[in-house]
Amino acid sequence: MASFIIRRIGQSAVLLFIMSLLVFVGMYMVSDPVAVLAGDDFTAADREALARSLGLDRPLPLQYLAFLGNVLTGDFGQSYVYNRPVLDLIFERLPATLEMVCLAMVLGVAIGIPLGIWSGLNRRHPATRAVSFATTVGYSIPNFWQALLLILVFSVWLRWLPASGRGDTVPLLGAGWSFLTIDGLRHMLLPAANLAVAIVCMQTRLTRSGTEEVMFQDYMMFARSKGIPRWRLVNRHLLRNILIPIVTITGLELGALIAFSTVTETVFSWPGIGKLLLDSIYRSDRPVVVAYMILITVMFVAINLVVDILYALLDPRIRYS
Amino acid sequence: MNRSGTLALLIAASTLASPAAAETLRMAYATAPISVDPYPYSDSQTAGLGEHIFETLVALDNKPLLATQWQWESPTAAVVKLRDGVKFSNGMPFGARDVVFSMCRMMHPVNGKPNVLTSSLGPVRNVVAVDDHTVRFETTAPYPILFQKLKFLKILSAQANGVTADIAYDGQGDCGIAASYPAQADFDSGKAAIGTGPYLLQQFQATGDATLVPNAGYWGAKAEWDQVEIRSVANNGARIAGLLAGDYDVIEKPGAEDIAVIERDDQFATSSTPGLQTIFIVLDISADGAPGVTAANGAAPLADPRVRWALSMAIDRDAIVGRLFQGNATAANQFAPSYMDGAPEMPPLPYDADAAKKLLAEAGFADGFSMELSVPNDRYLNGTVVAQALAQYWTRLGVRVSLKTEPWSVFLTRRGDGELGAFMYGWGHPQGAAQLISGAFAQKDADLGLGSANMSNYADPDFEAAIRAWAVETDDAKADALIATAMARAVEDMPGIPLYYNHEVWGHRADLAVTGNADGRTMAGMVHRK
Amino acid sequence: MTEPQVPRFAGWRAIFRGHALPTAGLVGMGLFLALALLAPAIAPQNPYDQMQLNIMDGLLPPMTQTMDGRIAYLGTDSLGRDILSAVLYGLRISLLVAVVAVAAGITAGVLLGLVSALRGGWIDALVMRAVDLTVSFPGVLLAIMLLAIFGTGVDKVIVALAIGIWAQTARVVRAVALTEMQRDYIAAARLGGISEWRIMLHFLLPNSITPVLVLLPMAISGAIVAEATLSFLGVGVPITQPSLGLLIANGNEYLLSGKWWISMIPGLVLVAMVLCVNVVADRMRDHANPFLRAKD
Repeated sequence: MASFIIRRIGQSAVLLFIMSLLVFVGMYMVSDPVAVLAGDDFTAADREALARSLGLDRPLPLQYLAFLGNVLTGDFGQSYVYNRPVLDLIFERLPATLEMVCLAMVLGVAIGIPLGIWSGLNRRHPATRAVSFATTVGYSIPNFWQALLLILVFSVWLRWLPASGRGDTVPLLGAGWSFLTIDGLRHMLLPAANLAVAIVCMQTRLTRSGTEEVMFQDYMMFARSKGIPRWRLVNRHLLRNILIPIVTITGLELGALIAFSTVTETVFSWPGIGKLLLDSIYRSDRPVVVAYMILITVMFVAINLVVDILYALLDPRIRYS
Repeated sequence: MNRSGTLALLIAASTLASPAAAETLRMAYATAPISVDPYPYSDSQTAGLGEHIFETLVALDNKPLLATQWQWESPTAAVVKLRDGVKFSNGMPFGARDVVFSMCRMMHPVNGKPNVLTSSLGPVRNVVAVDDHTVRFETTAPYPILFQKLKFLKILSAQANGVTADIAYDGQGDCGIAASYPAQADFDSGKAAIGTGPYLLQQFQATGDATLVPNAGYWGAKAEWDQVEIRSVANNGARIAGLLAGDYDVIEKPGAEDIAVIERDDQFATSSTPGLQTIFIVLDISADGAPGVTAANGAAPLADPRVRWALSMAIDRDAIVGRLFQGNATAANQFAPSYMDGAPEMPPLPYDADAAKKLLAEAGFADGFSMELSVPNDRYLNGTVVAQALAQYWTRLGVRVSLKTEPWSVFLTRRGDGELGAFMYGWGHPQGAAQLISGAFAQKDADLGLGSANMSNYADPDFEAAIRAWAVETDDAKADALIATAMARAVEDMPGIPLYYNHEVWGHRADLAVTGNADGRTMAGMVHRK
Repeated sequence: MTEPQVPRFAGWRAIFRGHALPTAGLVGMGLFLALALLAPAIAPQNPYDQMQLNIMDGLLPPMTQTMDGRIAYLGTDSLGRDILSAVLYGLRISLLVAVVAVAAGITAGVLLGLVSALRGGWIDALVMRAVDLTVSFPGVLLAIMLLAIFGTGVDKVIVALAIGIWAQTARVVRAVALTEMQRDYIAAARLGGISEWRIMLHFLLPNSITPVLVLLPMAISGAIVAEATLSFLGVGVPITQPSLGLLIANGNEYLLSGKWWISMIPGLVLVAMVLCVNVVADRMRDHANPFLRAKD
């Protein structure tokens, strides 16, 4: 196991290297920061000065080597647009994304799991078919359109909830948080709901199929035939058995949401890291994009590694050699 | 109690009543201001936030602001008289040294990065504080548009940044005081956000949200709002929703279709003003052809002025303005808003599809030609819709248009690499006509500041002569006449196709009156209680 | 040596008999496919032909007459595009993009997944790390790279989507194939001197492809939605050949002012189509689940 982990970390280091190279070269091909940042009245000399100040006057391989050298000393560079360290930019926007994604996840789990268990236990009930159909509909609406419709219905027509921004924040651990104020929560509700729809659908389906599988296992059939009350079955046996895959997939999903809730954040002007990524791609802010991609690749690699290790611990048949 | 006593009480009561009416003005911008630092960024929102706090010598509409008088003493020396009795928000008096300090800071590249005016203030050789309230600008050559450029120089306090001795100006911005320059972070934290403007920075967040409070010692008309909150909402629908739901009092740049939505509700209204921005198509008119433009006979269609006129005559500008903008734009007849001061009188550009066809045939392209049209898809209001309308008009003319819409950054890069043969562009400047044609159509000349964005490869001797004479003409009337000549020539040759002038629109609560500026910046000072 | 027992695809009838909703979904899928294929023949207007569009016909509500006397049954957009025609052609683009992207992505994913499982070692590590790389690469970044380097086009969108799909497929196929390789018949085949290539194509492929086939409709509906999102972000299909997603995104500006038909109609068609595919997908997955099948 130890050698597996070591080898995997080695592979991941190579992966990170390739990722940084791809994004670095990719952004270079996408747009020229000097063309984007320079004013229309800039003289050729000032354009050159700008390129020099950003280190873009050197050939690409040298730019990349300089970047690598800096990263190894923990310096991810400065944003071309904000003139500030990119890590500061990313970490000061992280709380906004974290709290929104967590609220979405809480909503998703709180609605999805009970709904899934109920559906799984009552397969023939007409409401189960309705739930199943509703989750399919929820899956089928593109996220961005859903967001626009949410704004139309809840902000424009009903005027219940604000459509943009974070609302009041309260400082905690050196960052501002919206979830501690009523106003902040009101602002968070629509974007979180936008993310939560897909989570509810996924959790419901996952829990339902898990429930169905477990309930048809021999030991459950046996227990049922012995007259053990249903609530006890659910509590003692069902939950324990279906929770492992649900927790695993929820963890993976959490990672994906933190990294890529770009569309939701953009539509609702939620100042999180997803919006930062999208803005930076469109503004040719290469240092931000590269640092962002490296950080989230690290996150995904870590999650995958943990999942693989957990699997090995839980399922003795799996051996990593 | 006698009458005067009652009156005194009434007055006392009314002055006491005003704090009770304390009101916060909440404004939603369309993109987030990047920083409070007034020097590195030129985008409308960052500049707008900065203008609450800092002021310039000359106002956008050429009215005096921190300067009361300015004139050319000789073709290369201008004298500016400064306003008396102006104080910075920290109580220190404003004077000539602050102007020199600000010029130095503007010319100082932070980490080597040029600022907004680095290029355009290059011709300034020296800035001298003649006395406490007089500044002399000396230029290397005649530079009449200096005052236009100074509309963008926000004034900082020298003393607040620790400079108390006289400053010797140099073109590099070092001035022997580089160590005293505030960093961008100092502006954002509020430490260096000390200006003479009507508002003070209370808080600026990295996400672009800002809170302002009145500057009690402001020299001009008192700020009307006890607090101003600036937020940014990029999504159009969400911004309108925010207004209608009462989250914001004023929003900028509603979409053309949304204006009616706001007007429909009695509680809300819109205000608009003809803007500075001209939207036009730039054509690469090189004799050896343009990228993406091909004709069956191998000729270069865009090199022929008849073809360019045919393209222009095929466009129904009134239909674009009426149907796509619901009237919130003005059909263009030249390369800068015809309603601006100093704009030459020009006839409307004709729409005549048949004549256009004939003209194209005359030029030898009866069978048309193929043309790529590049348009940024995240930059101009309605830009991609207008581009598709152009594709309709030109297809009917017989030109096979292939429309390339791409993000602004990709578009700019390809434009910089000279890969665009025909593209949409928008340009607005308080100086109007001169600024645009001197930048977009003149031959490159770094000393005179000409042709910095000449992508059309236009080179006409008469036009050049007029523009080069204008560039050194310090007499306003003569300069206007030269521009009229150059503009007429440019429209005749049509190295680009003027389309329309954008109007600036704000949506707001019906109980507010909004009188916006042509530059489209959203300022607390333009919002009044009815 | 005898052929191993392979669970074959059960056949449409066995899967759908007695299930009204999935059957309706299947019929709906067929209908949408037919509409997409027949679009040029049945659409009143060719929305890609600029000659046939006129902004003077713009923003007409449903059932109004255009200047040339046609009835715009579902209204027009701001450029005078007949919404009915635009939706039919948009359906075509959306389906084309999704189907080609899924076909390409799944083919690549199946092959690489199988090779990865069969060869193991450094090839396996390479493929799996490439999978990690791909899944953590945001689609919009990939799409804007392709757009900037190769220009706009339906083909670039297809490539961007296919790259997203191959990785997920490879992961699933590899996992299934690894389990399959524990079976005796593979060991027997190896001992019997059958080449690796033959083992892969004749034994591993048929046995590992079932989960992929089950996931196929889901992948198609996912690709349709992903294309719509890229178009919304401005890095999707060309603006003169709008897909359903682009029609929704463009029409959104007119939603507040009550011109609902411009985005709601393409939106509802897109949701209906994706829904049909998903209902079928659900049924196929349920059917493939042995626990549930036993109880049906």
